[in-house]
Amino acid sequence: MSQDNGPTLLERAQKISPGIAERANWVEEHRTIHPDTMQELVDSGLTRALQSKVYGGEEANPADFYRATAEISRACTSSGWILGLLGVHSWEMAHMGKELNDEVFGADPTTLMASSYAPQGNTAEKVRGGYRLSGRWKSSSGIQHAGWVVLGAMVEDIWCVFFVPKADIRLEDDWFVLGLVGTGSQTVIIDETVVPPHRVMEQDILRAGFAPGHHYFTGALYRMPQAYIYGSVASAPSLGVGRRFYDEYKEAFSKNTTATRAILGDRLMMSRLAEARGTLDVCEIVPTFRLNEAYEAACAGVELSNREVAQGMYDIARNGSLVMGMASTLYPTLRPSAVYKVNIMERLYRDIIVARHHGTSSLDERAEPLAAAELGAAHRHHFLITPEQRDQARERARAYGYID
Amino acid sequence: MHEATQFVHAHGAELRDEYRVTEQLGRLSDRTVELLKGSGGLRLLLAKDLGGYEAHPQDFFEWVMAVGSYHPSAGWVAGVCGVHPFEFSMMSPQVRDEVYGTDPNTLVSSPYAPFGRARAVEGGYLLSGRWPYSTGTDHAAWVILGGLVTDETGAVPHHGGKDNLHFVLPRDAEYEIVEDSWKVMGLEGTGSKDIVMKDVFVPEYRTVRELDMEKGLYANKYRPDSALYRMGFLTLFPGAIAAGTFGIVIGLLREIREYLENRVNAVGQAAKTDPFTLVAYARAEGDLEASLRHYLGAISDVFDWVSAGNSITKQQRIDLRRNQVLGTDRSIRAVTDLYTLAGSQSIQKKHLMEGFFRDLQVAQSHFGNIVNPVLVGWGLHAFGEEIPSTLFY
Repeated sequence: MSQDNGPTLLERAQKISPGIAERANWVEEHRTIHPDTMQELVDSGLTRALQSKVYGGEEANPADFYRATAEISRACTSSGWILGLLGVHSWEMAHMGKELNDEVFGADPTTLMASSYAPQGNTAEKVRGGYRLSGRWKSSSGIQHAGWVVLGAMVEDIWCVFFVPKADIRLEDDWFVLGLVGTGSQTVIIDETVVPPHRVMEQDILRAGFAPGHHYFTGALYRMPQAYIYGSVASAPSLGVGRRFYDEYKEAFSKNTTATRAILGDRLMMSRLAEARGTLDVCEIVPTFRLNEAYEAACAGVELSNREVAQGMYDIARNGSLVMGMASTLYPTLRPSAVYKVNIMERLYRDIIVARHHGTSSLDERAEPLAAAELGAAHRHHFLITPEQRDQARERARAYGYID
Repeated sequence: MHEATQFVHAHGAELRDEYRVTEQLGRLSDRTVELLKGSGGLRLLLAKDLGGYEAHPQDFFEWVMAVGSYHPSAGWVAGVCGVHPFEFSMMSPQVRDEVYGTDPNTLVSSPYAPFGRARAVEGGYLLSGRWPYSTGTDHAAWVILGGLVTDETGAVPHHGGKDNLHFVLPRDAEYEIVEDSWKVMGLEGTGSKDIVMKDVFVPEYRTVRELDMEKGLYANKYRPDSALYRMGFLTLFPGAIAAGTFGIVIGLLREIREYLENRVNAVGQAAKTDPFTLVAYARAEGDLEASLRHYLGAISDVFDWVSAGNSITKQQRIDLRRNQVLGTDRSIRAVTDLYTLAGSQSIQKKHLMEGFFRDLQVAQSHFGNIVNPVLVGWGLHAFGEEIPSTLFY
């Protein structure tokens, strides 16, 4: 899918990739995305792929965004990670009311939004004029490049998200980590602020499809379950960095045959190489298939069952483990010089490990709802809405005046 | 437990604290080296007449593992530099006295791999080259380096490709330690920097011919009555690498366990009641224990054999290598699976497990830990075929 029959998202990603790859070392060293890279991601329209057309976005098929994000990640994992993360928030914005959208996008429709969804013990209290919010939120990827941030907190026992302008927060630079160093995922601190109601949303209401934005932002994209959109944030970078790891490994393998790998060892390596290639195709094709399936269903107005969503979520989440398995098998077979920081394999491997550590790569957590659905048993997962939760969400959405 | 290992455990907390400074330092802290020397562990493989313990190999490996469990880089230095006294004990009395005469705790660095080139001259050799991976070299008073002898044209004779000589040089010889040559993923504290030299004279008596050492010629000549030196350098050296690696696994497991004790994940599940975590944890502990019993047990069996006056056999040597690489591989995989489940905070540098995990990746990449060529060689031997000459065992 492309806008006005221009280049596709993937083609645009391919076009800017070489420059982004060249800046990857800078990104690692400075622990943030290079300003030129950010500018290219915005100018190419990639950060706005999932944004509403009302504000000049593309409302693209998420499968196409997935491929483009993987392509950027292949050039620089941290840059691809930031594209994926910041890119999905404009999808969420289309669920919010017109007032907030105008606040965020009115002056500058390219405004970016970061997040930290897990409540992490943070709570908000209903007060006059909105909700009083304070607390600390770890690992907010891309916060340096964002104008706003979405933060999760509990209001009594309800998980809500709060849209907060950058001016109302402080940052703590505590992103000293194993890999994905360039994402600069710092801690967000709010000493105290009052968030007006139009900047607050209950997670369940959004996921059940009763958020107020539906009156204004009617594209099929926004009828897709959130699990598909958010489930791809670690998967696309995992695919991209996996592809790059494979490319570089092949290069190293054909250049350097070490003494220990001679003859018989090489034959074992050849089979591993073939296996890696197959794994990467699974990582590319399966999530693309699931995203297309869900997008087409949304376009046709068909609602997916929880079993289908659980399956899509699981299949998309597999990339982290699959790529980690591939890399942890291949990395030790490189020459020992692969551990030097000047060797790109060193950075790629650390990025792969950290992408695997992201919550959305947790296969065990996603296996349970899928297996339960397969067995016909009930199982809760925050991305799946049960019929009871849907009824409750509908009632609360009515009380808020989101729906009639 | 050997007293050297007891000393390490008694200073475990201090070693663990010393670990934190190594990443910036790019070598071991002076205090860490003091502790290594103070433990006496560097003398475990040194002959008794030189002031050493001439201990059971298992005592040496256990000492290395203990150090590594608190401080992976120190454990790695302990393994690599701790094995040098084994070779020096079999050298000519003149070299032994020069190196250990005044201090049996003298630290010697390496590497043995034949990165150097030597030209024969009157009374010895002129040695040149650049050696990467000189572990612990900033604290070493002597260095032992591998190299090949060239002909008049500067080329290595065709038949000489396998004829590696070990050259022994004092720190005051004219060689350079290249600063900033050890910028790596992990094990930063080993300070395994490059060494560079050009035409430095090494007298003949300060050289060892690797092939002769492998055949046991030095052991037979200088240590005919010692069981330890019949074990063979190519058994002890990969064992030291394995012990350095096991030490990191032990430490990493301890650090992860401590973290998991209080971890509650994003959806409110306590790690210590999460079945996935529990299975991975049990598997990691079990696989580590299996690996240690397997490898250390096998080492002890062979030591019993040589202690009874026998020579180590080819079958024993290749079996030990098989058990060693399977052991490190199995335990690394198991602890990696557990680390992967430890959650997104486990990648933060404020947790020691982040550093230990990087250290483990570097340890795994060492020549001595490479798995498949060893298994292929073992299998070939089992079917009566030749073991490839590129394999050391």
